[in-house]
Amino acid sequence: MAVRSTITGVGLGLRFDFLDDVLARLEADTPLGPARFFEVAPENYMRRGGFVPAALERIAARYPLLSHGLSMSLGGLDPFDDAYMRELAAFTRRFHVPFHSDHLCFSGIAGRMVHELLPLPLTRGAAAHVAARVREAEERLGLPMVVENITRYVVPGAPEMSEAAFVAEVLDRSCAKLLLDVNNVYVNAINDGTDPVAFLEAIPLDRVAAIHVAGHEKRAGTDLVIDTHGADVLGEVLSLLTWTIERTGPVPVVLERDHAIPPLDELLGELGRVEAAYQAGLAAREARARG
Amino acid sequence: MAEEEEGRAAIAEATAAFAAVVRGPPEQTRRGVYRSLVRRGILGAVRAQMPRTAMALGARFEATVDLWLDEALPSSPYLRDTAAELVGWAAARWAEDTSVPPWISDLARFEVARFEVAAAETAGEPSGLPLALDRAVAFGGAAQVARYSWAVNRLPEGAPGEPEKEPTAVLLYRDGAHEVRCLVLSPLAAEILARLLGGARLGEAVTAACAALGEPLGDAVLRGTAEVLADLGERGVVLGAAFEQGNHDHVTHAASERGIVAGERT
Repeated sequence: MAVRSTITGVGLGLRFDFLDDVLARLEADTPLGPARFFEVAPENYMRRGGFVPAALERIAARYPLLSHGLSMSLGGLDPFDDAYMRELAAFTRRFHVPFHSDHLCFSGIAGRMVHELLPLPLTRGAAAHVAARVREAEERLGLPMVVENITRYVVPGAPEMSEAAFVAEVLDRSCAKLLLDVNNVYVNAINDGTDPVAFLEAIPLDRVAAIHVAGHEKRAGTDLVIDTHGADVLGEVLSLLTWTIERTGPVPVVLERDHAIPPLDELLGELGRVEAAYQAGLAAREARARG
Repeated sequence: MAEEEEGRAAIAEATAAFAAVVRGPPEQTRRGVYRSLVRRGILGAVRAQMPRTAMALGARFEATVDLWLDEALPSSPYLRDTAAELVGWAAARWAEDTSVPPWISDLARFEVARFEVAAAETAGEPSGLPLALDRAVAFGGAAQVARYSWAVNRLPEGAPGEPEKEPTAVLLYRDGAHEVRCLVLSPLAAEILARLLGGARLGEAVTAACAALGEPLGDAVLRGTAEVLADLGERGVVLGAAFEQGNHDHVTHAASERGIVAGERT
């Protein structure tokens, strides 16, 4: 299913922590920095009434939305939850999102949910299974699916291929597009002692529909870096963003912040740094095109 | 298809390995990171919904969540459902544990109920139908009758305290500004409203509630019921009579003749 989206530039992952502040600025007609759209986790608004969905309606009246899910368990073995899929389809229709994204992982364990992104085995069979589920999700939602590369701290089983090859295999088999999380690429590379650019060079960048950036933290007492979304975006990650945008061209770029969320002005300042990296990528792309 | 089968087999192995890690003891390995990530995410979600329960239990709150994750894990794809799932699992255990304050289950259920009412889907606009004894009552969707053995509804927000032991029934509902409100109910009002929220017809609900409490179905009950429903209509909780056709029974007719109707105020 082809992704048809006119959304580009930088946007913010919408969180309850600053929902009131966003609404106050909409009320006062105050600009929200460089934010050109919001990305929302539909699970926070689906099957729900009251203040939260009412707030989203007000925001959606002014800003386009992207839909980024947490609970589909795309690589899982349990069948999709029928009620969840129906609610999700209704949500995506209601807010006219151009696609729905979720993670290249599984979260279900024998009918139970761990609410965490568990990594898949890097095998052709696992890629075939996920790709079939991506196609099923597209059919059930009536909307293009986009899959996101995750941070992983182990690779289960005996890998048959590299992670980049696995991502490419899923995209090829499913015809889906990629939500490229450059922070996840960076964190995995740091933890593995590999080169993040080598990963980026090995994935089909022409399939990138959107990009995530975020901060990460070192796990206390270890050398392991954890993708917490609880710190500012590192300069190295912004450099990877610029490198990527130079090759993909304009796509929506989302700043995710889930922990230690600073005041909105500070967060918008951070988004300004992301915007600068994004524009640098576009400028490099233009310079390259001019030769 | 064979390839997909192989893939599912590999994922099944990974699932079993992660299940063992998530439910097992802490381990200082990369796999062990997933145990702490799962616990941190779920603990944060349940704590956010029941801060007073968490405060009252202290370290035991985290221990309860730990044990729940060892034994059960959540089932809903919605993270916000985990608190209700935890309480459903833990309430009986807390009741048997003499080291836990006896009112903890009530407090936890109260906090979760408040959240559920705040987040409940709404049922729509006023039906336009006057209340009638042979019809069910349409509610706005975000209302619950809850009963407690301890007056947890009177505990102050954000401060430690112990509730008084006092059987209490409340109606939790959401007002037009999306705020959760709590009305203390008489035992009879609670019996009637619980039945109405369960879908009973008005006449049946009143009659059955009186029978359950051994109360005579007199004028005072009829007037009181009409007043309560009219008040709830003004609060936007009652939307009128529900759109349903049912067979009228003798009890309903009898009650109807005695005038248990809230009139057109709703």
